[in-house]
Amino acid sequence: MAETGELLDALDARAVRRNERRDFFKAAVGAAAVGAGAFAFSTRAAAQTSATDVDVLNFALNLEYLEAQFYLYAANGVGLPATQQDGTGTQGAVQITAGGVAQPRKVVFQDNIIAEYAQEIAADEAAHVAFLRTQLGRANAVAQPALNISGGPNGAFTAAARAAGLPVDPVTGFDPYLNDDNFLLGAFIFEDVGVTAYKGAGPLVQSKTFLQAAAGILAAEAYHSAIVRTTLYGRGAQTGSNLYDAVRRISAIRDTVDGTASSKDQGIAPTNLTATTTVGQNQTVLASNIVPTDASSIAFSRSPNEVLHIVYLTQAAASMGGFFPAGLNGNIRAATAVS
Amino acid sequence: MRDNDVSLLEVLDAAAERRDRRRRFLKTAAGGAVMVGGLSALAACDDDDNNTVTPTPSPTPTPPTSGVSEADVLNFALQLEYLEANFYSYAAFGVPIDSGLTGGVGTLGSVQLPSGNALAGRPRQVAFNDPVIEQYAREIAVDEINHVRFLRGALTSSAAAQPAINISGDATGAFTAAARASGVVGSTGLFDPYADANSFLLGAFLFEDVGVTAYMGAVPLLTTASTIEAAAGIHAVEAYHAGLVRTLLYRRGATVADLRTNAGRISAARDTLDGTANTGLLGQGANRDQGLTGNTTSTATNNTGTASNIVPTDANGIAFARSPAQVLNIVYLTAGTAAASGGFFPAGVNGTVRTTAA
Repeated sequence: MAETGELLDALDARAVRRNERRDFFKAAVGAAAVGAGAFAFSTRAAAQTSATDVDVLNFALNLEYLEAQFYLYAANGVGLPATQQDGTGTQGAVQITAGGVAQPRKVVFQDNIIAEYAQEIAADEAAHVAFLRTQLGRANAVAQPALNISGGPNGAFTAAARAAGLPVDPVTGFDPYLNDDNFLLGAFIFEDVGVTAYKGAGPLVQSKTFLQAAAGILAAEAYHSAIVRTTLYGRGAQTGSNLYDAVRRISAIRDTVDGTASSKDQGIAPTNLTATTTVGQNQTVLASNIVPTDASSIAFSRSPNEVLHIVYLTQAAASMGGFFPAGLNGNIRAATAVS
Repeated sequence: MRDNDVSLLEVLDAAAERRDRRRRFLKTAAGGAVMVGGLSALAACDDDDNNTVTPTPSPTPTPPTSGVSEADVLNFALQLEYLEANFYSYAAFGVPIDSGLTGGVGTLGSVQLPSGNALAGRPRQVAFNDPVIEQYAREIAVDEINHVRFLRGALTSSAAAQPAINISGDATGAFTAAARASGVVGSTGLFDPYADANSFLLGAFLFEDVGVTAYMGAVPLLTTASTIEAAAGIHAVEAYHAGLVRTLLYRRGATVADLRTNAGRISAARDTLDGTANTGLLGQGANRDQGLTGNTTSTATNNTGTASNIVPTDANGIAFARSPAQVLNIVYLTAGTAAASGGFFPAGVNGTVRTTAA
C-alpha cells in the first residue's frame, strides 16, 4: 500500500484536512491503487489545494535556512549574512549560548575531503536560500525563523540523538561539530528529509518554472544525501557497524516521528539480495543501501505536515519545537497529529 | 557556469529563445506530422503557464492531446532505463536484464556482444577487487532494473520495447567511442568499463548525470500530479546514484590522478554533444555539465577553503535540465541534428521521442 500512501501525501497540502482526505481516498481508491494505479488515479485537478506557490516555496525556504546555517557553521564557522535573513514574519537568529558547550562552530575535520564536501554543500544550500528569496521577492519571502542547531544539553541535535537512542555525552550532548563522524551523522539527520520534502511538495507547485526549479533543488538535495550516505557507508565498512547502527537509529526515529504508519525512511546498512531481485541468480549477495526507496526503487515523499513533525521533533500537534524553537515562518507551519 | 542569479524577468526574456527551441524539438523529436498540435500542446504545459509567483493556484494545465504525450515521455525514460539497467546488470551480475522485461512496441533489440571470444571490452561482471564498490554496483543495478519494471507497469500495453544496445568497450564499442571523443583514451585507444572498479566508475559516471538531467527536463512535460511525483522519485534516485558515483570518483581521485581529470573530460564531451543554444525554463545557459573540481558553486556565501564539486549545479545550486533531444545527442554520441541512432543505441531508441536536435 506504499503507493496509496504516497498518492495521499501528494494530495495533502493542508495538513488540517489530511484525515478526511485519507479516509476519502482509502474508500475511493482502495487496493486498486497498488502498482499502475499511481499513474491511473490522481489528476492535476485532484491535486488542487489551498496551498499557493508562495506558501510552498516559503516552506522550502524555511528548510533551506536550517540546512544552510548548519552547513555554513560546520564548514566556515560563520552563518548566512544578515542580508539573507530578513523577510516577512518573525525574524530569528541561530541560537548560540555564550559559553555553552557544543555550540554551532567550524568542525575541525580530520579528513580534508569531508571538509571539501562540507564546503560544497554549504555553498549549495546558501544558493538555495538566495534563489528562493529572489524568486519570492521581498514582498513575499519569509524571514529566517529562530533556529536551534546546537549540540549540548539543550540542543536540538541532542534531542534528536536522544530520541534516536544514540550514545549521548552527559555534558556535551550530541555535538555535530565535534568531529567528522558526528558532522556526517548531523548532516544525515537533515539530508533525506530535504529530498522527501521537495518530492512531496513538487506536485503542489503550479508554475512549470517553479516545478522544474523544485525538481532541480530536489536533485541537488539527493546528490547531497548521497555524499553523506556514501561517506558514512565507506567509513562504516572500515570501522565496523557502529556508524551503520547510528544511521539506522536516526532513520528509524524520522520514520516514527513523521507520524505516518508507512515506512518512508531507510538506513544504509548492507542488505541481502535474493534471487527475485537479481534477474534469476540464486546466490545471496550483499548490496549497499545508499538510496532510500520503495520496492519500485522510487524515492519517498513526505507531505509538509510530515516534514514539520520531523523538524519539530514531535509526533504531537505542534507549531514549534526542535530545530525551529519559534516555529516556521509562513502559512505552512502547524503540524497536526496524524493517525 | 553562470555567476548571476536567474530572475523571473530573465526567464521571461528568454521566452523567445525557448519557443524556437521547442519548435526545433518538435520538428525532430515529435516529427513533422504533429507540428501544429504538438506546438500548442507543449506550449500549454510550458511557458504559457504562469512564470510569476501567484497567491492562488493557476488553472489546471491542459493535458497534451497530441505531440509529446505523457506516455511518450515515460517511454523515452524507459529507453534510458533499459540502457542503464543492462550496463549495471552486466557489471554487477554478468547478465543482461531479464528477457521478460524487454518486449513491447517497436523493434526489440538486445545487448550487442562483440564477435570472437576476447574478454576485453565485452559486457561482463566486473572484477571489482573491492567488496564495497561491488555492493554499490549491485544496489544501483537493482534500482535500475526496478525502474524498467515500474515504467513498463505504468505504461502497460503502450510500453516500448528494449532497443538494440551497445555497451561494449571493444574497438567498436560505444564506451570506447565515448572515451575517444572525450579524450579519456587516444584516437585508437580502448575503454573497457568492465575492466576494474575505477573503469566501472567512469563508465557509470558517463550515464549517471545524463539520467538526472533527462528526468529534470522531462518533469515539466508531464501534467498528471501522480506522474510528476513518480518521475520526481526516479529523478531523485538517479541523483543519489550520480552522487554516489561522483563521491567515489572524487575520493579515489585524490590518490589516482587520472580519475578526476577523466571525469572532467567526459563531462566536457557531454556538454559539447548536447549543443549550445539552449537556455531552458530556468535560464541555465549552454553549460549543462560539470566535472568533479573547479566549480565554485555560489557567490552568495562567505565560504572559504577548497570545495569539491560532487553536485553539478547552476549558480543557484539547482541541478541541470536537458531536453529529450539533448539527451539523445549524448546517448547517440552525435552533436548533429535529426540523428535517429548511434552510440549506445545503434538502431535508435523506440518510441516517438527518438531524434536529436542540438
